[in-house]
Amino acid sequence: MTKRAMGRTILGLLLAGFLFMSLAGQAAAKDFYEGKTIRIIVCCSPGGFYDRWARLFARYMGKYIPGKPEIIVQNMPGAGGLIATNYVYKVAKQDGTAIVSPLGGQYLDQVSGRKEVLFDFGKFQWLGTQEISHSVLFCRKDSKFQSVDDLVKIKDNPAKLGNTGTSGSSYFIGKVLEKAAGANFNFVMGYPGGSEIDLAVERGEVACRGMTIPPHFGREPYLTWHKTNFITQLVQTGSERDSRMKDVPTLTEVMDKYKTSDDVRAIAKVIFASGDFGRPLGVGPGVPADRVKMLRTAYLKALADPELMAEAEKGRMTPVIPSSGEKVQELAKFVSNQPKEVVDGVRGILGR
Amino acid sequence: MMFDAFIEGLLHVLSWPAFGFLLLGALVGFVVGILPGLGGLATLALMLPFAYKIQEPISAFAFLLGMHAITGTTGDITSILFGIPGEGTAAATIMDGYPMTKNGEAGRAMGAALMSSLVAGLEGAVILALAIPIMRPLVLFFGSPELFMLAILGITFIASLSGSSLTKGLLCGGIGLMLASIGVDPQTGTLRYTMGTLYLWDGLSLGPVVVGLFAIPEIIDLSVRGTSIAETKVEKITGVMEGVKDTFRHFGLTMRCGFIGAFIGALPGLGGGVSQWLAYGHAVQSSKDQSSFGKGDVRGVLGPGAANNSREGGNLIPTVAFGIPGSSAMAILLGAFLIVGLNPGPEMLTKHLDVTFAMVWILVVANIITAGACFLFLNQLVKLTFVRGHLLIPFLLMFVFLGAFAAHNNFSDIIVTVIFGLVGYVMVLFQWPRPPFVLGLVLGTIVENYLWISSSAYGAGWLVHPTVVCIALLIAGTLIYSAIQARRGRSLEEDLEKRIGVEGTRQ
Repeated sequence: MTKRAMGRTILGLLLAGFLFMSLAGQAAAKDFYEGKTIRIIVCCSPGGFYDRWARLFARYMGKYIPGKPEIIVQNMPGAGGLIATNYVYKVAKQDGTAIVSPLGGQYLDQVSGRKEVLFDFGKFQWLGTQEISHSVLFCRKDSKFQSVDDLVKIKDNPAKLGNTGTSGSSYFIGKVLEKAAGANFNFVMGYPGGSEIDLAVERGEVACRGMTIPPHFGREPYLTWHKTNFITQLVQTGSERDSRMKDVPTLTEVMDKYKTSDDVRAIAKVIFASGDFGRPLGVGPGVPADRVKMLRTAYLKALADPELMAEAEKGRMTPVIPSSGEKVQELAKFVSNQPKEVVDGVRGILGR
Repeated sequence: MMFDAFIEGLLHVLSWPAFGFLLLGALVGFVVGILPGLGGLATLALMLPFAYKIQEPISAFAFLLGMHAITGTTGDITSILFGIPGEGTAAATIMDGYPMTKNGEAGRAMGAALMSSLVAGLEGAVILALAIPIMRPLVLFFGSPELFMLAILGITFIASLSGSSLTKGLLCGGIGLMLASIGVDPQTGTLRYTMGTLYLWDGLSLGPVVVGLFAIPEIIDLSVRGTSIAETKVEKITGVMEGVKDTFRHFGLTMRCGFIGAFIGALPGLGGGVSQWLAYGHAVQSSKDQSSFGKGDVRGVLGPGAANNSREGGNLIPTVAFGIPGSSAMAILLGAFLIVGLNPGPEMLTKHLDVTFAMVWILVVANIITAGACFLFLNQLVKLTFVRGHLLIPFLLMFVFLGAFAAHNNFSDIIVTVIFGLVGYVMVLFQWPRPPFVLGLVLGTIVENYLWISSSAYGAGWLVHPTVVCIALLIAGTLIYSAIQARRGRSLEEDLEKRIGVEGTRQ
């Protein structure tokens, strides 16, 4: 055997070995999920959209993962999603059997420097998000507040804005508009939940509310409100106008009009990135890359499953604008690495 | 037209396959209600996808609503037999139900609980039916100031729940109110008394606190006594029928508590824990002789038992009229509405009125089925209370901790259960009343939030809202009435003492 031939043989052997190893690796990953149970740890109580999405994936995603593992949903509500998110990052095994469904705005706890945060949002390995949920601010049609200009002009008896606490979309929109355009609000705080704010709007206790867009077009009482022309939308936070609200300005347009400074814009960008996160799913930082890849593929395949789509549509969990794991990953890295001025600004707005 | 829809609704429910689904839902609800660890809420979420397969609205509701209606009733069973509440919201039945079991009257207590549940469930359904034309104004009438005043009215019940010592009662109520302030403050996001834990951000959760407070002391007591749960060995188990008769003996009370349940249920924002305790408070307050409460008075079972079930009818009011869920369970049912292609909201009062009435009937029929099923093998269940305590305790402990853990899948819930178990034991030992404490804990958050909301939305103007003034007068009336009663009661006692020379009433 010539030297060259020997070299070839060795190279061939090495290649074969490598191929074998990688195949074996894949086989191992495949074997890994066989007979295993994956848990989706949900930030919130049963019945809400986070929970319902997780349950939908639990029923459809398993068959697209090699080894066809069982998938179950475990609700771990508490501390505004922090308990579930911390759990998957720190406590759960990093073997790809625990998927987290955190709040879309969970990273804000990290950005604002909550010491209870044990995770780095950018280091979660994201599978993707199935919903982009930007926010909208609306006021009653019979109130004086029909545009952002009105909010700015009316200083006595400003718009009453209903809120649950300091971490809801209503509060974020209000605070950012205060900063960005000089709008005036009377923040009415402490409603037990969104439903109670809706009732308060209905009876005129508060005039305005901010909320995410999907339910705004997905269920009552909003459907009736749209039909009876009961409310006016003032501003939406997506980068482009939603097709169902073509004549409602975006926050960017409002900021252009009011010549908002770049610092405030940067702050607004970080806060409303939560809309792009939607309802993401991810796994912990230590999960092996091949398993992450498998889960990402399965995630996208499940979302393309016509049966899942039909169920989602029936449950008004649409529009489904899926965002791939890679895209969510990029966004997560962006929001977790912000300069100090922005972090301070975000903190100031969140009141932390 | 309305009457037609009313009858049509009934026919829908009794037709096949809806009735079959109702039976199936009842079976699932029954099992889940009795077993700890799987809450009614989680089960409902778990079963929701079946609505996709069932598709036909009335069958789907028969399954889900039937299941839900039953978990409430069966929760009372564990409360009465073992002193362990099935859910945090179903704890008030323990107060007199468990002592009755100890007195060997488990059968009677269960009969009373089930019959009052049935009667009030029907009442709630009737109230829902009657409320249909006036639903919207009714719900809109009660704004935040009114809710605040209702919560204050609830707090005045502390006085009548205090038992022998008003001072102790007020102190316990005060501590309850104070502990209610634990958690993230909604005004500024400040963390209050969370002691560095994430768990306490959401405040103390009612379930583990109540389970600890009531169940643990009884289990300790059971192991110390070394007997069976029922202390007195009775020849014949006092009939379930006796309890059924009790319901009709105190029919007015049952109906009033049923009304309280439906009314509170119709107001989203007061939460599920409130109605049962208010009903219990009302049962105590409205009775002339209050000394037997807490020691096994059947009226203390009738009140909460009734409120627990009529609440469902009430909860449906805002759900149907506005598409705004009256409780977390209703929020899940809203999902079912959408899945079967219905739009909860005004349409339910016009185009789909028959479906709305069918829901009323589902509640009624489900209640009748459960009561019937329970009566069939109640006597078997009651026998458990004559089993030696030492054999039962391991199972009871498992019940307690599984139940506490399952709500949030959080280990801290178990720690809270243990802590409040000890607190509860000490309270029993030194005769500090527990109901005022729970009432304070339940109402504290509500009072605080609605006071803030009222003042920031209306300034000081809300103080002169007509309804607010009315409720204020009602509160003043109740306070004066119970003060007079207390004085009369005391002078009666003194009278007795003088006459026969005994040393006051038994504690």
